[in-house]
Amino acid sequence: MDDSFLAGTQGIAEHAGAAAARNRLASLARDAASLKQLAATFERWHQDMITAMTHNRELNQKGEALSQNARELLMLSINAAIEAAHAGDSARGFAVVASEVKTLAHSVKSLSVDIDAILRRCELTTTTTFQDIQAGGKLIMAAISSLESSIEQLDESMLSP
Amino acid sequence: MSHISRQSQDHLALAFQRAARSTLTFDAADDCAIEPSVVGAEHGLCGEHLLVITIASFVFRLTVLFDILADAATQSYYVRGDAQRPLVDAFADAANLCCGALNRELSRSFPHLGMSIPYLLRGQCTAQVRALNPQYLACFAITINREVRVRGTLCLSCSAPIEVGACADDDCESETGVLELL
Repeated sequence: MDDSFLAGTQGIAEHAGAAAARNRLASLARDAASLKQLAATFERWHQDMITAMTHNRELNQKGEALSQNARELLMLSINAAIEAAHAGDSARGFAVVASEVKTLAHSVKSLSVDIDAILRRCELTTTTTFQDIQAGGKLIMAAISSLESSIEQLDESMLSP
Repeated sequence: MSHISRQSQDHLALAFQRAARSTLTFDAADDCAIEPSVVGAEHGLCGEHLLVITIASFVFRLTVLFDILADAATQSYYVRGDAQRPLVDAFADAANLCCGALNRELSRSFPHLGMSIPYLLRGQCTAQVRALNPQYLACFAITINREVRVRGTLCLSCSAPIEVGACADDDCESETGVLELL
């Protein structure tokens, strides 16, 4: 085998190797571009979390209304018990009812305090999840852009003589 | 097992304190005292407003919670003469700068970081911070010019071990406060 034949086959092999590398780079670039569609996924999650947080706000308003009702019910039951005491023996039955209402009012008040704590916990965890998605989305999109930039630079360096 | 070493906790706490000193005050001459505080709204300051910002990496989430009081001193300090501007709006700018500075410091250890925008919650939500399952939780009482009081809470959750490097400048202060490890 003469030298010119060997040089020729080596050149063909190098050319084939470079073409394969360029194909792989092009494939990587397509994958990176495809990953950029994650932006739409993040936007969807973002909208879902905004909906969840709107529901939270509505629940908070209902929870505050429930707390207010519980306070008023308690006051009402105390006043009813006082009125029953003033009325004496003739209102003994009414006093029993007033006492039962008072017990119920305490129970509702305690329940509303528990619900309020759960709502706050829910508000905090939903908000931090929302923010995690927001911040995570930014960092993933930045990492994809950085990957795209590296692919472009590699592609340019391969094309330059 | 905790995913963050004691040294990393100290570095993180120091980075926050430095960011708070440089961004929550407007003038270099302002006096800014930062003391460790007890976590949870049931102790110390429970602000009317709670501003929340999250910094995320692939393996951790750091949520920073700022409690502020809507009192005259806080209003006057942050609103700066613009009576029309809501306090939370003015403070959100400062809190955003603070977390931006912390984010920059952390990016020396973690090249990929993202930061959320601030979000306003009811002050009482601070009491529920343990629901976020933090591996590191620390709280700092920040007092500016002896009258403006802000409380900053750091709540870190990690899915893998992390190492937070020492702060950028050589003249780092040695104070790190008393930290709570969960």
